[in-house]
Amino acid sequence: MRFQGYRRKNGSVGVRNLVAVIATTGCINELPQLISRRIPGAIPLGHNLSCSHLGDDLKQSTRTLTNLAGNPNIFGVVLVGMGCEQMSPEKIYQDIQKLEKPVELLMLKNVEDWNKLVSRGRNAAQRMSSQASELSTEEAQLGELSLAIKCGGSDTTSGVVSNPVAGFVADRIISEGGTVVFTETPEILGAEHVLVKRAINKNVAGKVLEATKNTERRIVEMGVDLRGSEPTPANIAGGLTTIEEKSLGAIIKAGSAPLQDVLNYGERPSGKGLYFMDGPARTAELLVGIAATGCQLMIFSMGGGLPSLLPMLPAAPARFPLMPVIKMSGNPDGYEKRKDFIDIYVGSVIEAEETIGQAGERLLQEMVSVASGQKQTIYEKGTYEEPLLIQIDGPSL
Amino acid sequence: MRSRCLSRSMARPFSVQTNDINKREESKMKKAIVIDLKDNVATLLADVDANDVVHVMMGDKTNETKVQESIQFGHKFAMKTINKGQNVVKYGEVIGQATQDIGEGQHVHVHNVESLRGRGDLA
Repeated sequence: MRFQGYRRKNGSVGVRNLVAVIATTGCINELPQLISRRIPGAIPLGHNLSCSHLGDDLKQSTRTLTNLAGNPNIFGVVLVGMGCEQMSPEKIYQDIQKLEKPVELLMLKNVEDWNKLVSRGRNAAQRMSSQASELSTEEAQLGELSLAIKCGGSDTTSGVVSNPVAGFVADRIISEGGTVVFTETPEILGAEHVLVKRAINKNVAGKVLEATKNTERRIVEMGVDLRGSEPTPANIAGGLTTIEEKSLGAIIKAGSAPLQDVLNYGERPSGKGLYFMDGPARTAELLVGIAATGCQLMIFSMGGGLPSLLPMLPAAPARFPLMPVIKMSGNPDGYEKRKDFIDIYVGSVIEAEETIGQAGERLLQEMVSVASGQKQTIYEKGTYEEPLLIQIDGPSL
Repeated sequence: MRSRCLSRSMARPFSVQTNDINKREESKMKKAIVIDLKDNVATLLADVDANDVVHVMMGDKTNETKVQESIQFGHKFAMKTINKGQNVVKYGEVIGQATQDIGEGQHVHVHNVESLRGRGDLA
């Protein structure tokens, strides 16, 4: 199975051909908006980081922005900074150059005029947009995909139908030589022993246990009980009783391949196969972190109930322009109510009209259409935009 | 003569209809699924009322179980008695512990099961 993609200088293949306009500090989030406006393929990437963070949070956000720029869906980058921020625009610029990606850096420090910065930024974005439009697609192998898989608005149909269908696709991508990344540390609590058995060595197994132990410790240190928020009230209404049940159903979406490694938030995998990113379940932060690992597209396995009546994603109401997200549902009731909010329906497995494998083959076809640009997902068509949310672990000052 | 005619003309459509109803009833039979043979709960694939008999799919086999109360689509019921303090098992793994005795066919959910994780009060 093959798809049509945009081959980059570093060998990776994009399923979209974007020009990212990235702010190095949230103080100037308006700039990417002004610079990218009405330029074909240009996307504004402002975010929540300014001079209010410490140590590892700074390292994590620098890594995340750099690796977002490295996502294969991005042709080139216009980086805009102030010159007084904590994150070094120069370092991010050099790191993006190392990824063999066209990049231009513009700083308020050098221009000293907001309007000039906007017009120079627009010139740069326009230039890159023209260069990007000259690139034509070429055939690429399924194994050149790095697929993100997430479940949300989960109910018991997630573990019975849509996650097994996602898992089928995950196994196929990996058997073709590709990569699959899943995350949501709070939602492997109670299922970590299953992942530990699949870790390729003791070191990776240890990382899985450390990730869950840290999450559980932080919850208990707050003096609260996870039972108040996991499963969520919507999960409980859908029939999920405990976090263990939710987690055991959730990990099915990652298929059955051996676990190669545990990645930090926004870290790029060193090889191919199945990876777990230690990260949050909250969709807005998750999307940023997992796109930074290099995933070109995402499968979002959706349950039923109220979250399935949202046009976008639960906990991520804004369009996320960096990678197409395919919304899949196995809940007949939710699908019946809002067919126009679901890209692919697999509840036919419940009605015994289709097997998991047949639904999986359909999902693969859908992915190929989306990857080849023949189809836009519902999430891509959203118009509401917000700055990116990068995960912060420490205090905000 | 007239009545014979009527009965003959009615008989055929009626019998066809009965078969159709049987077929429809069978396909409409309320279903549930047991994901792993070690599980002591089944997940419902339809809304059920008290005393409904549910077709439970367990791998290649099916089983019939009567539910004791009305339970929503996607929720679970006990396949056998689960005593207070015993593990509730789904996907072949422990998903929590019963906080009271749960009879066969009874709803298994947050009112009679508790999680064992992220609590701080358990070792």
